[in-house]
Amino acid sequence: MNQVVGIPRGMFFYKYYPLWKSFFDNLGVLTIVSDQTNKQILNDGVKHCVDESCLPVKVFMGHVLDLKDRADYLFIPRYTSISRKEYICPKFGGLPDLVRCTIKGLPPIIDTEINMRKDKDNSALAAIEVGEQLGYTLYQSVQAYQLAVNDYRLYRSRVHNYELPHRIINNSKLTTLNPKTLKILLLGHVYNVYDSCLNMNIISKIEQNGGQVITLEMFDTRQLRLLAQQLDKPMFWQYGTYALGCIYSVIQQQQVDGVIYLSSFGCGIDSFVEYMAERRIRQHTNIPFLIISLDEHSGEAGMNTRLEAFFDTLKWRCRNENNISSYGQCVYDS
Amino acid sequence: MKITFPHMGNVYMIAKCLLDEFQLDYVIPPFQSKKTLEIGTRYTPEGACLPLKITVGSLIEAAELGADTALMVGGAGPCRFGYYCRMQQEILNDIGCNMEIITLEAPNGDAWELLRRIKRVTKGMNIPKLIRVLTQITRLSIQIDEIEKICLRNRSYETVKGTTNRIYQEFRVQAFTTAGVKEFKKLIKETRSKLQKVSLNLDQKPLRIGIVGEIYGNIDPYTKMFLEQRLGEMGIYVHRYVTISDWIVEHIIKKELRLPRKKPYAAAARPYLNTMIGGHAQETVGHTVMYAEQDYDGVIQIYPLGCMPEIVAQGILPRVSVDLDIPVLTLIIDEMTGEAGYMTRVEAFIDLLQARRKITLDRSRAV
Repeated sequence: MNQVVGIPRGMFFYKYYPLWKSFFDNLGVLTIVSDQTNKQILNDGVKHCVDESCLPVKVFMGHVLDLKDRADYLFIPRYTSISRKEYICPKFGGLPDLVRCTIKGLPPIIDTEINMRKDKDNSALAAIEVGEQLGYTLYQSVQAYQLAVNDYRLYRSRVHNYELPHRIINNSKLTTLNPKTLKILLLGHVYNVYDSCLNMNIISKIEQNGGQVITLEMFDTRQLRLLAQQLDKPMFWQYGTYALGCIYSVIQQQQVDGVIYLSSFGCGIDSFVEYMAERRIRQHTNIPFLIISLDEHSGEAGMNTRLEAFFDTLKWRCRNENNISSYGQCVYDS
Repeated sequence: MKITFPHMGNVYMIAKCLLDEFQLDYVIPPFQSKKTLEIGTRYTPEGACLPLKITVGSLIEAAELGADTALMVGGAGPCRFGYYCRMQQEILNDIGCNMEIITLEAPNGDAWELLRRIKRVTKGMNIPKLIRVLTQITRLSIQIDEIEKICLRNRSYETVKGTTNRIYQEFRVQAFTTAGVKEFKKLIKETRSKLQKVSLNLDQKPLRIGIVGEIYGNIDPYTKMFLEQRLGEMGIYVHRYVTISDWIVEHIIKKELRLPRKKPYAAAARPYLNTMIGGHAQETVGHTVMYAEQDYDGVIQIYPLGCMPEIVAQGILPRVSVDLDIPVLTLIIDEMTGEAGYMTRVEAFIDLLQARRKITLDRSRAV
């Protein structure tokens, strides 16, 4: 009985893959991951998805198509909520249904609901349910899940030490040796920030321009929550709470030189969070802020230009600071 | 303190009664128009959904009339609507509009805070009166929806086209000058008797279309481009489950009091969408299934661009449409929407439905 469980490399993949991978490994279940996002996957996904949905969901469809014929099961848990009293994007809740209704001839989908809105131990129950579907006993599942949680903690601590999740998971290396002098906060959903094809390699590009990337996952979540309490009404999306926590942290400690907000077109949560973030940064600091929206029509050259321009601004700021030229003189020596 | 509130279909009638009963000073923003939308679009983030743009426009128009406090409802669902109140506040602050938004909700289940906010608005606290008025206006909302239901039915059967629409428009305008629950009941009674007198031709068998989708787009006649009126004028029977009274009774009162709620749509949607994912996605799918079971000719889904739950529903509807053999048309509205383009699509859809009906009729005759 060698079942193969397919895990699509999309949506919360870069957030929870180490956890589920370890869980399945401990159970002795073979797993298979779809290829890294490429043009083929992107195009397939766009073709098979509702036009109005955001790019990450379309890419997810592409990954499902990529796995369709290779796996006995598809692992698409229904994430309703991943923290107490908070939600995530409604599209996650309907993702298994969306996949089932759009793509024909799929292997059975494991769509256990993960809802930690009322009870934070729900994820363990979900794991037990997953184990049950694959024919494992409660004891086996619990043990496997406990080990998996330990592995997941290890992974999280590596991320906290400024290792980028997609480099850990994909075993990819840094591509540039340029000195990194500028600290850049790259804010955005996990599925936008770490999918190198979807965001046109933005992390490598920042590094080539001499930026050290900091992402939301590298912050201490407890601290972010504390900082986010400054909001008049708490955000009911986990991502929103954390993102605005990051913004408040930046405002307080000024530890970054620039903020880049990566959003996908049509993302409901981004449309609000992005506005609130920009407003707060502009009001309380003078840190440059750049918004990049992604969709399937993105031209890479356009993004390169904007990134380069952004970095030029940052570098000039470092060099000239408040050195304003007097009349008739040039600030530059040469 | 001059109170106002954003428009949403006939909600203004209910809110007006409530404020009248407490003898508060208020202004109702003018009915939404192209100008409202233009003002709203100018100041809101472009990715935000249409209802936010319209409500912001509405509030700014009310501010021009002298309002300085706005009432909103809140929420903590995954839908963006729950955060409207804060977004509106920040947007209004940014453009230097001096308006405070009071959100009528219990933050984190804190009922005292809600009472405190109500107390601020009503200046003084009279809980028995509050409860009495609330029950009265809830009943009123049900009656208003009944009027709408009669209108929907009348429009498709009336012998002189446009009679119902005229009465309905009169009702909406008169509602502006009617004060208090008692007067309002009288107005509703009059309108109802007028509507019942409209001469109908019950022999014809109009096409039957169900409307599903996100609540703001469903309830607000401006947002959905007066689709129901227009369909009615074409002689089509329109039905929709999503109404204001349903929203007030099921989503606000019963939810807050933790009473069991009627959810026929949830059972209907089960094979396709098994959980509540926020917004009206489950309703949309469930109602489509219900319409198919009741042999409706077609379903039109309306939602504002970027509405997250409705996108999921839209992805699921084609499967429902194939499985249960019911045509579905999806209309997505945003600030760029051209009316003519939409009406062409709707008319084409209607032609299709008529042809379909003819084919099935011929077939049954042949058998």
